Amino acid sequence: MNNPIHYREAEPLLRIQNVGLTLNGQVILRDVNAEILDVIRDVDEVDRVNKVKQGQVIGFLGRSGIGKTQLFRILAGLQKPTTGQVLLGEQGIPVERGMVGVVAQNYILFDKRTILSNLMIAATQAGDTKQVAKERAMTMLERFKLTDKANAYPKQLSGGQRQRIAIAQQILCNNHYLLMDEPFSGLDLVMKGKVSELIQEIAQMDEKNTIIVVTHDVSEASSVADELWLMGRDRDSDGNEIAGSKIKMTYDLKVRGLAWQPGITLTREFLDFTTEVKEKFLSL
Amino acid sequence: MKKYIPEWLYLPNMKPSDQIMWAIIAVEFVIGILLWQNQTFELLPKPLEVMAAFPKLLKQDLIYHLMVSFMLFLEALGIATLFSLFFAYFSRFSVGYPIATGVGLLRFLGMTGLTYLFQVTLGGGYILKLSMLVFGITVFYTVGMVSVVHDIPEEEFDHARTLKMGEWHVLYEVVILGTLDKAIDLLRQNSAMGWMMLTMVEGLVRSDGGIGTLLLNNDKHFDMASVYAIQLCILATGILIQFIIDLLQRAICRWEVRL
Repeated sequence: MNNPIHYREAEPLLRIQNVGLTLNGQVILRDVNAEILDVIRDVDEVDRVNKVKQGQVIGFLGRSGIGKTQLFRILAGLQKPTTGQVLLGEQGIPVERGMVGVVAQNYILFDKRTILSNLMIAATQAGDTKQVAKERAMTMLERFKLTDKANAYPKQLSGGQRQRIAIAQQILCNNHYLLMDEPFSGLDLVMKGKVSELIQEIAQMDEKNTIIVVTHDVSEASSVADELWLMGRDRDSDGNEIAGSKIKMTYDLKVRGLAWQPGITLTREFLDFTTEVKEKFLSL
Repeated sequence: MKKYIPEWLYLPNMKPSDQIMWAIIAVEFVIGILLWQNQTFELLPKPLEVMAAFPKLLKQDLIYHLMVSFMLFLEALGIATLFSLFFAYFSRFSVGYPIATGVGLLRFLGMTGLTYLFQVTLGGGYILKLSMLVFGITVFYTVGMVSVVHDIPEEEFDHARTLKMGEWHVLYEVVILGTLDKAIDLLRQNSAMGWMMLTMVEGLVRSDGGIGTLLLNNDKHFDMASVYAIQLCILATGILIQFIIDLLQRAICRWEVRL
């Protein structure tokens, strides 16, 4: 087993409390409970000098039709749950739209605006003046190596560039929370690796950054996440599914020593772990 | 044998070069003119007879009539665009949707009874022509735009909302700005509808003149060469209008340009 990297957990950053959702008489979600704690890595295990800013990355797994999208919308404040609530930060502020950034699967941007304008509008929505918004937007473009695309339009970008701008836009507007819907979908191996790197980079931009990656892809989710949530449904005594999905299982990759370690995906432990998760995924 | 015949000549979905495409257009145009020249219907004047009618039409103030019609059309198109866009955007409100849908359904009405209604409520003459044209364009334009603004994927609204935008801001960013290209596209389609209606509407009130009036006057005298010459003018002006709207779309919708 790999040696777990030392960390401690501090205050909760996000709490899902007894969330339930019924739409048109159909129970979609039931008693969904989960918590994301601020994970603090005191010492960089590589050089043992620098303190690492370590955000949280949650892999959120569930098969199609399980209600991932609805829970995703509830987490983003776009859908009010029938019961329960989602609370953000130490103060436990109920989530409202605009508090949590969302990067949709098809990387939606304002197609009629230039890239710079897309980023500036996000920054101004966060309360910046135009001047500050432009400076922050340009800094973000530099960080994502897309400065030369400032005056291009979204339709002129490749899929990968579009994804980075969609992420940058949400980072500029929303504080620390980012939901990513199927970021690995339809990508080849090289691109998947780049997206994983990007997610890690965002997570390490700020201690409080919290990224929830919604996906079917167990291996990719495990490669970026420090915690996995698996959605599923309870069964009655006859083995029939009970309506309403919930988070049935969580895996803490930090405890298993599978988080934050370069090259971990090539190890026997990691492959065994993903096999275990896949088997569980199929049984839920 | 097949290897001597280019595939674009007999296979669907082929994309010949621009030069070949222009050559195809030119050849088909010439074939069309030849067929027209050699047709045997006595009532249908031949191309040269139609061309010969132009000097006579110029003496009948063809340019003036064309300008009268063009100005009437532009005014009607502008007003109809404002009405149609208003109804379409208003349809995003719960109270506006039934109204906008109702306006669209009016396209099934015949014009006959409406002429009287417009004359009584708005007045005759120029206003009558204008209101009939505005009505005709608006009902069709509204149908198209209502469909466009209701086909916007929900994710686009959610995207704007996650950027802390209120619903009015979402309406501007996603609905108004987001469908601008489609609004111009529908403007082009419905301008053709309006231009087609023009001759009919001008037939109602002939005192102001207009290309429709000129057409009907020549039709009354059974001067078919002049009638077809006027039709050619109407066609050419319609194509010009489409070209101008195309230019407008290219100037405004720069985001459609791909690298």
